[in-house]
Amino acid sequence: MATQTVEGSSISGPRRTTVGDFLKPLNSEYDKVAPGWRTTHLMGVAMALFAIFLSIILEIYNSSILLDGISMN
Amino acid sequence: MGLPWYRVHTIVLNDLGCLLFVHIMHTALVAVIFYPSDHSYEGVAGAHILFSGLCFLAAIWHWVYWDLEIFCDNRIGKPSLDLPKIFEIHLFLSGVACFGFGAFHVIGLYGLGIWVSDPYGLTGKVQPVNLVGIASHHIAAGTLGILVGLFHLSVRPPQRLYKGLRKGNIEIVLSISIVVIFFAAFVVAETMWCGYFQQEIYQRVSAVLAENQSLLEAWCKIPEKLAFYDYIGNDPAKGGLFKMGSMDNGDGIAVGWLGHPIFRDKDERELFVHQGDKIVRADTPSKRAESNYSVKPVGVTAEFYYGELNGVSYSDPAIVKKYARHRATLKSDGVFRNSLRDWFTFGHASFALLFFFGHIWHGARTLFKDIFAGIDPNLDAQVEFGAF
Repeated sequence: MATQTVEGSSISGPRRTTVGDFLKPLNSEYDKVAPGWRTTHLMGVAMALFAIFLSIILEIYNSSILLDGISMN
Repeated sequence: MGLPWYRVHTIVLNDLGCLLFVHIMHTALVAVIFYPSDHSYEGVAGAHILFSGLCFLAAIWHWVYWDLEIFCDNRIGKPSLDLPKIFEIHLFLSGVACFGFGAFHVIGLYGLGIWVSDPYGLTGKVQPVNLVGIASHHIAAGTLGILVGLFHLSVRPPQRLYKGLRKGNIEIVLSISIVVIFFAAFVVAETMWCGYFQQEIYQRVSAVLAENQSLLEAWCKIPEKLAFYDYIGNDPAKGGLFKMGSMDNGDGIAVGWLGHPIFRDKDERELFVHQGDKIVRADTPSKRAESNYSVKPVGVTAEFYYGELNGVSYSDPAIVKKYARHRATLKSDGVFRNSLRDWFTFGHASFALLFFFGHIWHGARTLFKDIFAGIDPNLDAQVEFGAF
């Protein structure tokens, strides 16, 4: 049956494993946030720069931006 | 009572072992089904099947040992997942893999390269590739992924964004994941619908002409598969999608290629079938009074390169008009039926639309969870509901 108990660890709670102990710090900050807006403005700047980058490479490929030494044919 | 059919997958939400299990199992199945058809080396195929098998075993282990201490949050005594952290870890690892793929596998620094071949897969082989696009893209994107992943690993999300985007709710993760799928599907559907085949053909011809070879040699080198995709009858916009019927009788099956026609006026200027804002030099007028540019006085001729009509030249206006009108040199009789290109476009566009709806659905469910559950929106001032 799927509900068969595992000896030893079932009484003391959830099962501990070596890998689990190693990775536990990575799953210990649930709900932890930085106050207020913090790095949101930095994210906005990064998004804008990325959008500009994508527009540039699109328009180069589309030949809407023409650069010396780059020919689209 | 049992769950209604559209809620059955919710059972994975509170059982994290089960959640892991379904994701690993999915990976296992994708690896075993998808990859062996993608590669021709038995070792690579075998490695993927082995990987799939290991994923299968890992999935079962996680389903059996569902109650792991790592998932348990001691503060609240219930299982929880730090979703922003999970995102950060995956972004970092993906960045490493992407960078490694570009820098090592593709270039051949430590790896086989990629499959490069002719369109029929007859003369290709796996080889290291210095194609500027593929390797450099993966190196650049991988670097970006690593740097951004490290940034996110060291900085927690701002409370405003965490609450506004419900970053504690796993359904928002589902919603965003769906975006990736439909985006890719729309891109390929659009490519097959609009096509870039003519551009590709002209690029290839220009490249050969640049090496001072003749027009005939240039057109010889165009693979028939590419010419076939360019055939206007395959364009879904020509009604090809919904015309059912046997592709044998009448139309649809291209039985040969008459060749590439080049139209010239009497001054030997090359003319092209109208595609937008080019100078009009010849057309088929509807009234005799507008016949300045009519095919006959302008003296348009059509000469064919490669194909069955190689070297043949026509000056009779009726015949020239026929070939200019269709761009149909694939010997069909005029009725368009559907084709490989149509089905690809139809399938991918349909699924893209479905997944777009799915993205909106799950996003809306997450962002408006309180309203879905019947909580009065005005109550939010005193009691925060469903924000985390």
